[in-house]
Parts: sequence; C-alpha cells; structure tokens
Amino acid sequence: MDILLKERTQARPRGPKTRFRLACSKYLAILRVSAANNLAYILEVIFRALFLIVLIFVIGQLWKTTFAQHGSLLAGFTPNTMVWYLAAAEIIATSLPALTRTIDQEVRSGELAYLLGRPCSYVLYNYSRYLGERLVRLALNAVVAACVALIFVGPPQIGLVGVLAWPVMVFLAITIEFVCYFAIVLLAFWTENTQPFAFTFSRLELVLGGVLIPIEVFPQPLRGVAQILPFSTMLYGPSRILVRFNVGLFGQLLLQQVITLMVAGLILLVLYTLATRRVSINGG
Amino acid sequence: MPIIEVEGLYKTFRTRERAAGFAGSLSAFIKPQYRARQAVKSTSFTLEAGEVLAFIGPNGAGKSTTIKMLTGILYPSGGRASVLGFVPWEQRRKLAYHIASVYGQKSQLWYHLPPQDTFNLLARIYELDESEYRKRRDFLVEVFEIAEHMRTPARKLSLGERMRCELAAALLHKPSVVFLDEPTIGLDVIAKQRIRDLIGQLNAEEGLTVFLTSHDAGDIEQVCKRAIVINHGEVVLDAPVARLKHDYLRVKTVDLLLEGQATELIASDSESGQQRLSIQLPGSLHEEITSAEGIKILKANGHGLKLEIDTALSPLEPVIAAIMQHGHVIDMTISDPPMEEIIATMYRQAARTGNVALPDEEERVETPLEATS
Repeated sequence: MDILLKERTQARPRGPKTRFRLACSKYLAILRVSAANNLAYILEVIFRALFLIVLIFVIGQLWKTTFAQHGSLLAGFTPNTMVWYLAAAEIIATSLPALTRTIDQEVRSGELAYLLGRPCSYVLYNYSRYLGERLVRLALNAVVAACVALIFVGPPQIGLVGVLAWPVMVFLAITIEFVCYFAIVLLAFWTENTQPFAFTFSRLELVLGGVLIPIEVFPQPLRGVAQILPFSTMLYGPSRILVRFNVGLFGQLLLQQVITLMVAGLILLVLYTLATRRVSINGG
Repeated sequence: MPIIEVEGLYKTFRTRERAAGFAGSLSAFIKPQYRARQAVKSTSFTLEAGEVLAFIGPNGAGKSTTIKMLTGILYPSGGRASVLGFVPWEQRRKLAYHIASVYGQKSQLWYHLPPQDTFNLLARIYELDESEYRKRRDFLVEVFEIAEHMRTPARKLSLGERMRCELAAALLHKPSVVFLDEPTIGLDVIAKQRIRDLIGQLNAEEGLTVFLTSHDAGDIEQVCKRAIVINHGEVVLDAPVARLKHDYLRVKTVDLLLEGQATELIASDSESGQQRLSIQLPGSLHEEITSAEGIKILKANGHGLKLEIDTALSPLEPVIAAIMQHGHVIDMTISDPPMEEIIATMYRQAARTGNVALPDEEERVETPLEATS
C-alpha cells in the first residue's frame, strides 16, 4: 500500500469523549432526517391522528355508560381520568411505525446492503430512524387526543408531577417496543416471514397492555398476569402515571420498565450477533 | 503491494426447497429439504491501488456475493480476504470509513427528501469535518453536475440524475476503493456514458480504485483496464480488457431500421447461395463489402436489417457510413454481445485450444444437503 493510502486508512486518534460526541451527533442526525422524511407523509399522519377522534369518542361513550351503571368510581378511575387514560394510551398505541414491514422490505429489496456497509451500528441506526418517525406521530397524536378528551370530559384532573413523569415513561415504553419488534424482525434470519409474529405481538400488546381498559379493571387472575407481562410497561404504565400519579407506583413501573428493557435488550443482542452471521441479501 | 487480496474465498448458501402445489407445501413443512448452493467457489485474485477492475459474469455468477463479502456485509463460508489491510467481515465498521459501495438497483438517498439532506446525514455518519465536507460536497456537485438536483426530492429525479447523486454521495468521505455493482443498469445511452466518464475521471484525478461489476460490455470496454470473468462462482478469466476486447468483444450487433427495403442492400452469393451485404465503402467505388469480411446478416425483413459485424475484420464506421450513403437510416442500435454469449465463446475457445483451466460450463454447483428440521 502506498504512503497516501496508509495515511488515509489509519484511524484518527480520538479520545472517548470525542468518539461519544461524534456518535451522538451521528444518531441525532439520523433521527432528524427520519423526522423530516416523515413530515412528507404528514397527511397520512394527520389522518391516522384523526382516527383517534372516532376511537376516543366510541370507547369514551362505552365508559360513560359503564360509569352510569356502576357509579362514579371504577377501580379508582373517574369518568374524567378514564377518558384521559384512554387518550394517553391511544397516543402511544397508534403512533407505532411499521418497523417490521420496513425492515422486511429492506431485506427483500437488498437495500440492507447500504445500511450494513455504513460505519455505524445497524441497530442504533434503525432505533434513531424509528424514533424520528415515532416522535412526529406522537406529537400529532397528542395534540388531537388532548383536544378530543378536552371536548369530551373537560380538563384533565392530573397533577404536574404526572405530566413531567409521562415523557420519561413514554420514552422508555417506545424504546422497549423498538427492542421487542426489532428482535422479532431478526427472526427473519431463521423463518421466512416475520409478519405473523409481529401481528401476534401487537395484538397481545393491545389486549394485555391495557390500552382500552386499565389493568386495575381486569378480573383476577388476568390482572396479576397482565401486570407482570412486558406489555403493561408499554401502554398501561405511562398512561396510568399520567392520569393518577403515585410515587410508589411510579417507582415500581419505572423499575419494571428498566428490567424489561434490559432483558429484551439482551435477547436482541444475542439474536443480532447470531443473525449477522446468517445474512444473505437478495441479489447475492 | 495489493490493496485487495482474496485467497480461496467461497460462500455457500443453504436454501429451502419446496415443490409446487399444496402437497409440495405440506411435504416441505413436514420434511423440509435443503440445498446448498455454492454462490462463490474458491476464488483468488489481487487488486493494486488505482486499478479499475471489471468483475463480470452472467446472472447468478457470484459477482454481488463477492462484493458483499469484500465490503464485510456477508460472512464467507471459507477462505481469506483483506481489503486495505482489514478483514472485511471482522472489521466491517472500520473498513466502512475507507470504502464506498453503489448498487445500481438500490438507493441510499432518502426517498422523500432532497439529496442535500442525505449528503448532510452521510457527513455525520462518516464523521467528516464540517469545512472539509463542504469543500468535498461542492467539488462533487460540480464534477457530477448535480447542483440543480440537490434540492429536489429524490423521488422526483430521473434514474440517471439519481445515479449521479448516488455516486457523489458514496464518494463524499473520499474512499480509497469504490465497489460499483451494476451502476449503469437501466440507464439510457447518454446517462450510461456520463457515469462511465465520471468513473474514469475520478480514477484519473484521485487515484480511486474501482471494483466494478456489470452486465454491460460497454462499461467494461470504456472504463476498465483489467477484467476478471466469473461464472458459476469461479474465476474463468483474469486478463487485460484489451485482450478481452480483442478476443471476445469484437463482434457487434447492428440493428437498423431503413427507409427503403432491406433487400435492396443484399445480394445472394451465386456459389454458396448465402446472403451478403452488397454496398460499397465510401471513397472506394469498386470495393464492395462482402460477408467474408466479417459481416453476417442475421435478419433482413422489410425495412429491418440486423447485422453481426466482427470489428477486427471490418471496422464499424465505414460499414455504417456505406449503408447511410445508400439510403436513409431511420433508427440504429449498436450492441455488444450479451455476457452469457461472451462466456459461451470463452468456453468454445477453451475447448478448441484444449484449455483445461475453465470449469465445465454445465457443471452443477448445487449439492443436496440432508433434510433437517
């Protein structure tokens, strides 16, 4: 190799701080570009958000009827907190991007080759891209859902601490969702189609995650099972903390989120390590 | 010293086989059958800095698989390779800073955003210094003449415009080696030529090493100095392009749409009864072009005339000029023989000369594996 080439291929000496700064800037740039790319789909995002009006209105009516028959308190929820809970849970549930389909398509079209050839982590690249897309959807959903709930049951009876704790829990919740769905996508290296797994996971999340009915309202022993399953950390946890903040419960749910994230992250790491050895890209 | 060294590299894919129909699907579910397919057989070659190598072969020959192993995307089943001193599949991310790849049928540009945004993102991904990046971007924008496309969403660009943007994007971080996988596929003649010129220019000006795979003999003739021909996952020829051109790329097919009848240009040989072109070369009124001079009439039907011309015996220009002098030509296409035909010619010549280095053309590289669940 000639001298010029040698100079070019030698790594520039960089301290850990610089490397960390450059890595952060890299993944933040991906997040920003992904958010901008999704603003091109703004009409689709708005239509999806408008669907929340129908959803909150119909389920809100069901809750109103239930409360009319059972009194003004149900497992600690008032009609107001119940509708706001529903709105908070739907904000998260309906903002999930089609992560598995996007990656499946990249594998099939062979565009995966570009991403794997970049000097960045494939998992973190996808995480940043996912966050960019999801944050756009979350923001729009939050505006629409808050307006609907406001019109439907009036201002929320929630405290400032709940409002401050909510973004933290939502961030962890959507990160757990990413890790779970990404692990499902990696199954593509062993099975031919991962869509059935993703479909089953998403339906279980909707049913057992407490999106329509808070987990407290579930009958036993279903309640106990749902509480320990990872689904509750994605939808129930953040929504419950927003509408009925409680320090003890917040600590417990936060711990559950952290443990779920660590376990799911470990599974993802093992799957990813095994999967990269099995890569076979279309067209070679 | 070579910057790419490949020794005995091979890759075997295991694919699941399924018979047609419901019974076949059921049987594949109960007792799956697998087949090992050797996409790349034991391959060895080296590449020096600044070389422009054509890595060619028909569909499924193993070209893309080799590129993907050399860029670290695929793990090989065996063998050794080093690119710029890195083992690609073990040091993929470190290597990525020094190489670039462009895949003709795939895009790295963000679909809804203008190329400018993808360029800015790549600058961050490759950790480029802001001022260096701006200088490099401006240089590439000028060379590739893409200034007017930089603010147009990628989805609204034509394929040729997009490809120029793709190439410029890939070169932002000043890679030492660029892997181009079918970069001109689907492009029209002018766009193809532009891409070829740009590759040549960057090789000459920046000493860029180019590893190019293509189906298009034109890419190889005009851009590359050396060619490696691969078939059934094995190297069948490693030679200068000049030799490849002389031995295998000298025959061109010329497809003409004439204003007059094609039969007006054809005469029958009284002895053999074969058809031959009956036109006179410009400037030599008595010199008639005949089939013996390397011109074969493939088809002459109505206004259409298809010729196969061996350019070593009969240069193209005088023949075309003579046809045009004889009558008006409405449309004309000059094409190289398809890659499959070039490979077949290589095998025919190898058989004639008794060259045993070439593998059997009909050799199957697939071997069934034991069924596993």
